[in-house]
Formats: sequence, C-alpha cells, structure tokens
Amino acid sequence: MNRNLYNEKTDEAWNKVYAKLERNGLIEQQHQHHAVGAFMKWGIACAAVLLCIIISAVYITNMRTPQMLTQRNDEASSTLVKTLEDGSVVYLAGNSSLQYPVHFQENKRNVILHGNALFDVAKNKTRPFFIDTKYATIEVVGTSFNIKSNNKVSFELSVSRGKVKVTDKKGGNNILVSVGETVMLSPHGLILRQTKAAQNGQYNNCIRFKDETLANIIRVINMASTGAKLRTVPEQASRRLTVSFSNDTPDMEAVLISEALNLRYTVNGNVITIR
Amino acid sequence: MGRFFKSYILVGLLLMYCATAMADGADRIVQMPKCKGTVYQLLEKITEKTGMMFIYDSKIINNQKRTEIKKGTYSIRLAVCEIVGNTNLDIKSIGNHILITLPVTHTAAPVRLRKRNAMCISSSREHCLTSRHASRLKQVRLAYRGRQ
Repeated sequence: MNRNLYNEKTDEAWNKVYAKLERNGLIEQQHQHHAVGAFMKWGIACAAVLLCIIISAVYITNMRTPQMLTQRNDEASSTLVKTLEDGSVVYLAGNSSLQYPVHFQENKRNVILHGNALFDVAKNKTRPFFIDTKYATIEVVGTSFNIKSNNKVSFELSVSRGKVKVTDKKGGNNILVSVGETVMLSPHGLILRQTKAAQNGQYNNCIRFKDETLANIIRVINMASTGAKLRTVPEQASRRLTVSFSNDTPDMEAVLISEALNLRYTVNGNVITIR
Repeated sequence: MGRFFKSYILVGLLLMYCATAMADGADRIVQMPKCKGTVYQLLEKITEKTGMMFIYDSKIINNQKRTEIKKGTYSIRLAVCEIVGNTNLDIKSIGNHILITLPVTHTAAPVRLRKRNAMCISSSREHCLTSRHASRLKQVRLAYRGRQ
C-alpha cells in the first residue's frame, strides 16, 4: 500500500518535471534534435545509394565503350597493313592513323580514321562496320573501298566491291555508293561520279606489317598476289612478325619469313608452304 | 705529277666503290640524326635513309619500347644494336632486307675423350648454305674441336 503511494508520488513528480520542461520548450527541442538526426541518416543513406548508382553507371559505360588502340603510319612512302579482330584488313596510307577497339561490340564494329586508307571489310550482316571520319560516317556490311580524308581532299570514297552507305556529318544527307563509283564531299554536299582509276594499286607497292600474325600476313600477301600462294601450318599461324615488303615475289617473301622465324618452306606446284 | 696524283685519286675512289659494293648490306653506312621514339619508329628512320627494310620475329624485338640514338655515322648493324639495346643479335642482309635474328645456339656434341687429350672440347653448329638468291640449299653441321 505504502509502496503504491510512493510510486504515485514519483509519477506525479515526474509529470511535474515534464510539464515544466515542456513549458520551457525543452521537450520540443529534444524532438527537433531527433528529427534532424533522422533526416541526416536518411540523407546519408540516399547519398550512398546515389553514389552506388553513379559508380555502377560509370562502370557499365566503361564496359560498353571498348578500349581503343591507335595504329599510326608516319612513313609517307609505304602502307601499314592492319588486320582487325574480325578479319577486316585496313591498308593505312602514309601520314594516316586508325583507331580501333581491341574487341568489337556485339552489334556493331566501329573504327575512326584520320587520313587515307583502303578497307577490305569482312562480311557480317549482323555486325555492320562503321567508319568515322572528320566529315562523313560510312556504314558497310562487307566490301572493299578506298577513303581519302586528308588536308588535300576533305572526303572521297571509291568502292571496289560491295556497297557502302555514306552520311555527310554536316548536312546529314546519305548516299549509297556501288562498285566503280566514287563519292566526294563538296560545299553543296555529297557528289557521286564514276571512279577514274583503280585505287588499290598504290597500297600494294610497299606494305608493312607490325607485330602481325603469320596467318594474317600470308592472307594479305595472297590477296595481292596473282602468282604463287603462300600457306602455313596451324602451329606457326599465330607467330608474330614485323616486316616490310616492296614488290617482292612470293618466293622471296617465303625465304624471308622462313629465315626470320627459323622455319622451313616447301614448294608444291603453285603453293609454298611455310612450316 | 698532277696526272699521277689524279690517277691515284681515281684508283682510290674505285677501290672505295668496290669495297662498298662488296660489303654486306648490314654494313652500309647511315648518317643518323639525334632522335627519340619507339624502336619501331627509329628502325623506320633507317629504312627511310637507306631503303633497307627490316624483318624480324616480334618476339625478339619489342617494337613499342622507347629508345633514342645519338647523332652520328653508324653502320646499319651498329645502329640497330644501339636502337634495340642488344648487341647479341645476328644481323644480315638478304636482298634489300635486313634480317634480325637471335644468334644460333651452340649445341655440345658427344665426344670420346682420349687419355692423352683429356681437355679436348668439342662443339657443333648448324649452318645453312644459301644460294646467291638467298634460297636455302642444304643444312650442314660443322664440328669444332681443340684444346682448352
């Protein structure tokens, strides 16, 4: 009984204290402090989530944007030949450069060209090939064509095989270019005309390969050669070579490659096999 | 006296011409300016100046390695060694190409030691006989023998 009475008095005393604190606005202040604390916690949580989203977005963007490599040909008198991941061959003229990814994207193949080059694009309808130049964008499926885009000529493209779609970056107009046709960029837009002379010859006079696989070198040599054809065995196909050829015969090319890679070659009719 | 002197100069020039013509392409003299760049770029400079083109296994020369060469007169062989930073290379010419390879490794052949000649050493080496047109004719093995 006494204990209950004691408790009631204690409660009464506490109520008085709370009432007094409330009157002085001290309870209110404590509530505000809690509210600010809660707000801070939510703010930090939101910021953390936002940061995670940003980091993920940057990571995904980087994953999707392939790492680009640059191949530059500083020597004006020769052609640097580069075989891309998909098997497309680029004959890069002097004072020109090509930017290409280590691995092409799944749905398209993108490269950037500064200067002149001859492209022999590997056919792949599901992965169109795009070439970005200063003045125009070129879309191809599988073909061979020559591009001039340097200080002398703003843009010129000649097709030797297949069809190419050229889009004027400035005007936005596009044009389809077929075999034997050349498209030029004039102040009035894209102009189509018949190709005057074969464009490919100039690229085959002096060709250079830098750290290129034997299989790719042989493929390019055979594309240009009308005489004997070179072959290699699968075990040697991935060996890399740095070499220049200047109107050399396939026999001489076989001798040089064999000497450089310490291999032997055999001649069987029109086929020279390096093994 | 003047005539005699002139003929000496002519003979001298002729001898110099013959020596140049007979020298291996890799011994040709090249005047190099001071330049920096990748190994590939500097070898390209030699090609530009001499017309000699290079061929090598990409495994033995790192094309991307940055290097430099001092201004001066070099034989192609020496310039290549300077640029690549490796003097242990076999450099020879085939036509208008400079072939760079690793030296052929010596393989020890088994040899019967005689009591009298216990310190006799022997080694053999694979050689390729090549024709004037650089095509391989025959593979031969040469053995060297002597006292240490």
